[in-house]
Amino acid sequence: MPGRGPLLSASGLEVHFKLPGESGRLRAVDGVSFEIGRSEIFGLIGESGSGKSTIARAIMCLEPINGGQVTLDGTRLDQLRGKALRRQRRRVQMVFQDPHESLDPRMTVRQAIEEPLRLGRTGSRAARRARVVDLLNRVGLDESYVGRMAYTMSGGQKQRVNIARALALEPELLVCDEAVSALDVSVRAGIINLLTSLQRELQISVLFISHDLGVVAHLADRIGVLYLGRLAEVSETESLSARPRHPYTEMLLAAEPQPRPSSHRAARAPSISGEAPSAARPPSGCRFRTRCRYAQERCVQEEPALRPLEGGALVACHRAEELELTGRRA
Amino acid sequence: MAAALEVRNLSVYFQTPEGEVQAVRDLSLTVAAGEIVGLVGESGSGKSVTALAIMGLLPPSVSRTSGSALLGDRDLLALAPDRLVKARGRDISMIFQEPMTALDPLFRIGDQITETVRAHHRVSRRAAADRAIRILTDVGLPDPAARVRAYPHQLSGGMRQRVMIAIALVSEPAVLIADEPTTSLDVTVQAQILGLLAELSRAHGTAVVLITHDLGVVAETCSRVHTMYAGEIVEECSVDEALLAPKHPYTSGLIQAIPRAEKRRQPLYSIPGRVPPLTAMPSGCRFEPRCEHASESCRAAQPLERRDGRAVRCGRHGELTLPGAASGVDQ
Repeated sequence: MPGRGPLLSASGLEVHFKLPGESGRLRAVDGVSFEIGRSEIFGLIGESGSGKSTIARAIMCLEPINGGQVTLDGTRLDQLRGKALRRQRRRVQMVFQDPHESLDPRMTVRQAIEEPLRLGRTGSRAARRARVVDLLNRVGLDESYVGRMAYTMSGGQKQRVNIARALALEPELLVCDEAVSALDVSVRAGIINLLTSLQRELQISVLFISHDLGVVAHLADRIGVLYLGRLAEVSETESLSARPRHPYTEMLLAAEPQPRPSSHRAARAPSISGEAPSAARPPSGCRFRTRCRYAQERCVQEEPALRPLEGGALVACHRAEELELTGRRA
Repeated sequence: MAAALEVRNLSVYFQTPEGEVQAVRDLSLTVAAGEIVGLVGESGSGKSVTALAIMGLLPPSVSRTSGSALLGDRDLLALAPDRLVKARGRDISMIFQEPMTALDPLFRIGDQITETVRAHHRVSRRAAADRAIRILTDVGLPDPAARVRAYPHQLSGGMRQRVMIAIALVSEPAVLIADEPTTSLDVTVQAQILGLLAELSRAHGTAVVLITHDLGVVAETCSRVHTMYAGEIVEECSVDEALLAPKHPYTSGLIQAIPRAEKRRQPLYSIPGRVPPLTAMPSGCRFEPRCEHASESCRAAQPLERRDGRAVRCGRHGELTLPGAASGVDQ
């Protein structure tokens, strides 16, 4: 039943890791639910240890899940095995953080982009090669790149090849895990532009994962904020920046370094404190309460569920209705 | 204010199989006591090499420097090795991007601080240990009396960077060079570390050179900024001048490349091409091959022109009006 409902939905997703030498388990992803609409860019933001990359890997079925479901267009991915899984999985492709590590240095650009086509048994050899050139053009590289080896290219060029490779099988969902984080500012801008225009042209859905709120806010329609394996807030991008509903989102916005002259910049809020505790031993009640300046007794006792607020935001905070939180400093 | 560190005409050369290449050319930079100055640029611009050259940390077998780095009346680049060792850590210190690799994993952090104290001052072990706890308190490490017995792996990235700052500042050096000190940290921890650097610089009058690729970090922390490109300083001015009205096309390009909330989904400016390799630097303006404002005159070498307290290395800066961080934003 294509065309109806969200393209991808994760519900109650759990991914646990066994810790060496300890009896407990690290709940890297601990009951996360979200949906990605058709041709939507959904951003996931969070600090290290929040579970962003584990969610990406779980969606790609690269990580066995301990609970919940991953549904692609009505099909439960987590229940598929073998050939059936491979058939579905080609609909979701991934771009990784490090462009240097994610290309085989012994392959030419043509081999790298052609490989998924070959494995997917798509078309004749001639058709595949024409497709490689077409894909290169799509990502802003010309035909002269087909014979190049990875080591002769810059990080930006390599990331373009990685994107071309990810697009080869015409996925419906592109998962970008920190795909621009290792790039220089000027190069990063080119890749962000490329992702924006590709999404527009191909009408694909994108899961864009990053620690950089500025980059995510530039691209995403909606943003999910992760903290220690749980979603703190899911909101439309504009309202998340202007009026955050979770104290952690407020802290992230305050911490973002603003490249603005002093006349256009509000002072940094003095409320940024502490570091995320280990996901292996999250605090009782609300996980953010140890760093939250609004925390009360209830927050220690009771874990807040992610619930809808008036206006459409989803928030996991007991006090969401009464708090007046500060948006992006501007 | 008196300069705490004055770098004059620093050039750095490396010996490579293809012959000698110049990584830094004719760089001058001044930091006053209590001031935080930014050195911003992308990878390959020569920022870190500049820092290592000032600290005398480049391997002499494959590198050569010229120019001077004056710390008071002493030229760091001309100091005898034994005197340089004494100055490093006492008069000028450096912190790095990755605190895990800069700390020794086999020693407790307390011992790593007292080692620095006792290398520079004739004090008892007990006094050095007290000093370690005091400086760890100053840098905001929670529970310092217990944490002195911790090993680096037992601390988070943010705490390790606090320890690095403690080691660097325990002898109250006049100058601190911080090379991407927050790049590997989470954004909320970054905000705290930047705040800490600013506070310590103010409290102790430490002159800080903050090296970063992030103009946001510069805007939050520095008073003046030097923009580096391909081994040269291309612009030097106050942070507000750079952000409001940059005069070098590269500075302007860097600013335009940053995603901004007000310009969601709009195409960002992306500087075409890439930094030329050291073996094939253009003889004229080094940015000319990537510059959309380049003209015939840019093929000639461009001097760093100083006027009204700012400096720019662009022959066309008088005729260009370049967009800054406030363009497109309501006043």
